[in-house]
Amino acid sequence: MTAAARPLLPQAGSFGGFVAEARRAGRLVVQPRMGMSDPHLMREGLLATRRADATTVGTITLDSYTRVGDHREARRALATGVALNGYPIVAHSAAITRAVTDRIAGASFPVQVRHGSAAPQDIFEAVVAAGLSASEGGPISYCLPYSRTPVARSVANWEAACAVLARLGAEGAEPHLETFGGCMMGQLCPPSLLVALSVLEALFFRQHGLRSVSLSYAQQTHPGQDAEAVTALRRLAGELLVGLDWHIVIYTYMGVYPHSAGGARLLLEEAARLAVRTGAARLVVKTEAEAHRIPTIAENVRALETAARAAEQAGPAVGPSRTPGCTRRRSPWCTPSSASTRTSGAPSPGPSRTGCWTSRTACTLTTPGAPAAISTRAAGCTGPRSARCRCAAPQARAAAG
Amino acid sequence: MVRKLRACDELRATPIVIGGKLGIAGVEHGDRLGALVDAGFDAVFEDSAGIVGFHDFVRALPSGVGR
Repeated sequence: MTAAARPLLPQAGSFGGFVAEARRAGRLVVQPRMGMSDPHLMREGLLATRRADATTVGTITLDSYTRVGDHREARRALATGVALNGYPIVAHSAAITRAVTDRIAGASFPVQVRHGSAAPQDIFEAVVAAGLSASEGGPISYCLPYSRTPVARSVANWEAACAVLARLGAEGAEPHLETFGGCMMGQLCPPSLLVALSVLEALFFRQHGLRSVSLSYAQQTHPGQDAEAVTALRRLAGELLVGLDWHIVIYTYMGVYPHSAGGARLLLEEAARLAVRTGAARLVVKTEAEAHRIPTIAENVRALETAARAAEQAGPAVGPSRTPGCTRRRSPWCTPSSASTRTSGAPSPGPSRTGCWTSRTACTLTTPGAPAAISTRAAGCTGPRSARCRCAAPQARAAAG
Repeated sequence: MVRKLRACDELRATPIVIGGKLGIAGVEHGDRLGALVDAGFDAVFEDSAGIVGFHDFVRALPSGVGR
């Protein structure tokens, strides 16, 4: 392995670093969609997210005026006291946004800005000015569904925007960008297209100076198909993003949402289980209010905790153990051991020998009963360790399998 | 927006409606919906009211143009 191909260790205190650490501890990171135009409310929301009984990162979701660059209208709404559907980060001064996140955002609670803009340069300037370093989107996924901007212009905009964030790298921070490509139109896109877009946008981010990225996939209507899609996404990322810090983020269902509280909760729990089953590191939740309105802070906290409990019950966030001594290559569908087996410390009955977790070309065996992210080398394994084998990040397994 | 549309001569009599989730806090009531009609919409269809009212509105429209 050349020095250039060595994986970048996520910086402690960075968005990617926080997620990697949670992953090593076997905890799924959960995150709300949350944005209020009132700075006091926004701060309250971040604080409540931080205090939720779950491993959380914070979100500042921007309003629709800011997303389309109409900062004048956003300022007018602020001046006249009209509530917006998000936090207008450009219309508010950097000082106000710094006050919103002061003593809340930091190494133990990274905050990501979510927007939806095909021209996010001024948004990213505001993000950086406020001392933040994580955002999301992409030149295609935030162009076609959300704006009238031609793709070529969106690409140029996103190049410039990436440069704004990447600049932080020279200042010692580790900026993070998440692809929105795994959602695209919310629904009605084949998973293969979502996977391809997510990978391409991650490659775009790398090309333009980002070293810490996440790849999204939005829960669709078929859990089996979703698991296959995320497996493919992870495998491609493992092959194509060598040298980057990266993880997978699942979006809870982005289509027409159940109207009943029970239905909404079930769908969210299903998304949490998908994330655990597929080795995703982070989940963006939806609330019981989704079908009706923008959720309250309390509803968001409830959703975060519901998702965290569902993830815990589904087992460690890293995946199943493997039959001792099995040396067969692992198939994408090898997820047979039950949670009780995994936590008992006893050897798992494991998958059949037609599909195991490791291959001799890259040792990533997980020890039954061990903390989810700790792996040991399989007895007799002689293959080279994969780039990320040290902590058995699932990406390595996907790449190896 | 609708005031700008109504300011165009050729759009003065065109049926224009608005609907869906119109606020950020759930179902909108009375005053806010009335303000939209006053601004120039022919009708307002809140998401929670269902689609029947909209169907009735469309059925009641005179067919063709030529007014």
